[in-house]
Amino acid sequence: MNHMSDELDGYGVARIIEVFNRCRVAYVVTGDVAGEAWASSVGVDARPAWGIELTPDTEEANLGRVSAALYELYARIRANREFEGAAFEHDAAALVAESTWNLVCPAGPFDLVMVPPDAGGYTGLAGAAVVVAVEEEGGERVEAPLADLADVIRLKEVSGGPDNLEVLPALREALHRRNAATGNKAGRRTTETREMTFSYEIEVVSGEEGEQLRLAQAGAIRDLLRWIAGNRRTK
Amino acid sequence: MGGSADALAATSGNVGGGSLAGMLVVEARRYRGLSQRELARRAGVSRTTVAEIEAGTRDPGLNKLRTVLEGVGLDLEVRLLIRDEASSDVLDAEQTRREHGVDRFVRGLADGLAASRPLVDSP
Repeated sequence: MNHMSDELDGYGVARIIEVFNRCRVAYVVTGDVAGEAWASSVGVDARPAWGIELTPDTEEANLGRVSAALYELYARIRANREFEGAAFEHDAAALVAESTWNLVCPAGPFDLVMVPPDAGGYTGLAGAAVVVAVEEEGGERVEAPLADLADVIRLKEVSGGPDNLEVLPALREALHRRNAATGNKAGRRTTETREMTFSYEIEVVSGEEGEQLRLAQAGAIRDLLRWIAGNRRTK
Repeated sequence: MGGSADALAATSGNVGGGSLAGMLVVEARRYRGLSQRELARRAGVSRTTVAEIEAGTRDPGLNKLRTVLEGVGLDLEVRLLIRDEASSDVLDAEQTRREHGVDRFVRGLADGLAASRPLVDSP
């Protein structure tokens, strides 16, 4: 733990939100925290989040404000779950150069995830996001902009990886329940019905190298079919 | 493997409304794309048995569970592993979640959703 900033200890992740808000950062809460909150609101158990994920607007002035917030939080780079962290210099240009920043500060672990415009970007997420007031212990109140559940699901689908795919069935169930309860009011998005297209380019190579390539391609297709089988709704 | 049967029975109690055996059977059925009735037919058990295992209301025991899974061409392998860094990570995650109030914050978000407002005003 960084003892330069003991005064931040004990506030919890709400402190991160409070600092981002005070620095007038445009961002939304995404990832497991958003997924778990939406799921919990409709009685679905999703994987418990252990850190918070924030997606900021990648416009230069906003990233300058993100940088200011990070300095105020004494944010350091997190390696795996080693919470000591490494100090780093940053500004708007440095922040936009990476797609993801795994960080830690005395208030807890958090990630900055830059969503590029062609994946909807911050603007796309903000259009469906809601502002939620959270009462903290001691009566403190913070307002958190929360990405819509359909967007949380979409981002996990795009990101892929076992950790993201594992939580998708629970989140899809939560989306199904929410939409059933609300009739998908308020313009909230749905990913319930949509076409998915997968395409593979098969390269034909002869000899031993070709055999290895064939096995690798077969493995990739098998993994994809397993993923589809594991993520479709069961009757 | 005799000891493993006891180990499985000891851990196949209800987990979040389902059971370990139930989750395995659901997973196997999804993987094969089968209905409960078709899985039951292939495994040589009744559909009620499959439904009860999936719901966690019937503990099939290791042998019955293996029979059901073998019926759809899947093997059940039980291994004992030395506790390692990976399992410590799970504990660390739970501890981190509590220490930094992530659980409290998520609860607050979930409770506050009903009274939320759009981030961006509609035109």
